[in-house]
Amino acid sequence: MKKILVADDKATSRELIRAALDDNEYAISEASDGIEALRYARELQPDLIILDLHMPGVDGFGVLGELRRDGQFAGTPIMALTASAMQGDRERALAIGFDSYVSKPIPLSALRAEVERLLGRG
Amino acid sequence: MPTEHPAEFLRALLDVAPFGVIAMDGSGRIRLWSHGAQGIFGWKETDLIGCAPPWSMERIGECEPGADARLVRDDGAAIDVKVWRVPWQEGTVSIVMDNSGHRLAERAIQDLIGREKEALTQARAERRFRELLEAAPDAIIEVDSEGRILTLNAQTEQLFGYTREELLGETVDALVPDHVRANHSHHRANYAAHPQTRPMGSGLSLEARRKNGTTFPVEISLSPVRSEDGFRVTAIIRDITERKKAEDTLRAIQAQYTHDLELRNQEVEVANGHKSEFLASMSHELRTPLHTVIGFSELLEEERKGPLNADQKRFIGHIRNDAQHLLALINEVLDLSKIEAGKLQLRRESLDITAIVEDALSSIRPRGLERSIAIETNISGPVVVEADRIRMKQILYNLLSNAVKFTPRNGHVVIDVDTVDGFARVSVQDTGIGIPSEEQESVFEKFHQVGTAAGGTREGTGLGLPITRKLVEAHGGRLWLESEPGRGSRFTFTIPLKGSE
Repeated sequence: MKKILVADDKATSRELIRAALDDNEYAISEASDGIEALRYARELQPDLIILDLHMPGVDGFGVLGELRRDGQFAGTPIMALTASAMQGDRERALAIGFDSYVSKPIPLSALRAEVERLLGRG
Repeated sequence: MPTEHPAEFLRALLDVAPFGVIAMDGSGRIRLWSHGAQGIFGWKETDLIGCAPPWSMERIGECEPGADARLVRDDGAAIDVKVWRVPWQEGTVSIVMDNSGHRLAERAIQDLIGREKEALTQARAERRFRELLEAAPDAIIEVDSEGRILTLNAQTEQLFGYTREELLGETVDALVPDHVRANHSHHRANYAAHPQTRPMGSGLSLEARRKNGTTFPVEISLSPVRSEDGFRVTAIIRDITERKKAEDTLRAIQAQYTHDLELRNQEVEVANGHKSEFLASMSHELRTPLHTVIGFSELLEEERKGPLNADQKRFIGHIRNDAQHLLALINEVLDLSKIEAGKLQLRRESLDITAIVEDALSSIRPRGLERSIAIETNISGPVVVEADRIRMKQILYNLLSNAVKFTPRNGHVVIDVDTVDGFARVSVQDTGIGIPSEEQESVFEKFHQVGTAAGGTREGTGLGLPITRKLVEAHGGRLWLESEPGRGSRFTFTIPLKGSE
């Protein structure tokens, strides 16, 4: 079973992703901020990491930077999931090493397809 | 009458006398031959002076005083005269009067009147020149090649604080500020070498010096004068203190205004920046909960956690629809504020506008099909423009979805693409309710909505057309509407063809 780590400071957002992705197919872990996301990533070695960009403390950009510096996550797909509408965020995210940039809200079917793609199943 | 030169005066008197006066020295040479003598005998004084008298005149010495005598003129004609002779120094003075003494007198008087008139005219001209000079609002001086002041007017006295007597004969250095005096003679020589009427020291701020040592800003124009007495220069000196003051004030006001404007611009920029930031963060805050509202609605509709009854399904549908609508509104408000803040960045590339039409239609056709609306295209070939692909699709999508939205069941939507005068032209014609002419411009205003959609609902944000128009204009094109109530609407836009800009 593929392991997915979801980092988002909004509990309902995390729950939506968990519900949409169907517990039975993936093992989903949740982190509520950047620090937690880094700790769980190292502990759990997930197959896919979904990061909200705007989190208190270390934000999504910070977490990504930290993970990309760590050799063991070099090949781990990491998705940015954000409600940001700031121009340039997408470019910035893809430039610094995110594999995917998804804007909230996204149709659930599209979210599922993107997760499949990143896990190499699409 | 000129009294300062008595000799000249006396000579003038002799010349106007109605008789001839002839003076000879001891050696018998003529020393004076008056106009009267010339009148009687014909010879001119310039021909005779210093010479012995002409042969026919030799007998003049033999004439008895006051007696009639017959003498000969220069043309050989005999002439009857009376002669008086008086001794003068070593020689004699003869006074000769001819018979027509009165005619001679008359001629002499006319001569005198003529000369008086001429003198009068000259005096009058001089007076008028003087009056003009004195009335001039500028200081006017005339200097010789050494810079000595020969003429000046009252305004010069007024301006510089000197009296006329103090300045006449002095050099202009007196009127020049201390720091430029050393170079002034050099400038004068330079001007004498290239004499022409021109402003002095053009481009420089010139100053002049008053008697009390203070200086004031001036403008000086120079004109060369070549007279019998040598090279002279006329200088017209204008005090520009008041003008300078006014200019300085104006400049200060201008600087202040520019400064204020810059400050205001900065404030506006900062405010605009704040507005953009605020909108971006507000948009983020609104989209975050909408994300979960829409997401959980979708989850419920999927019925993964159990089946819904018909009412529940409908209610969930309403929640999701309205949430989507709210999302569209947020997106468009943000889009519009981005465009209005001048932050719209177009990523131009070569693209075939007909391909974009097909692309946009692929998401519109299903909606047309639902209400049996026929969608036709009249496209004869590729039309290539330089445009932002995403924005172009947004423009077409907005126009096409409006057309379908306002067209009743079984209606038509027709899309024409062609080129005209270097522009691609796309028009979207519907068979909807149409728009009355008085409302046609306001459909492009923010939050204006026309009538109701053909489905009977008032959907839409009222921002689609304003955004669409701004996007078209950002591409260098135009968007307009032709419509009649009951006969549908035709929206047409143009975009410059690739290579035509």
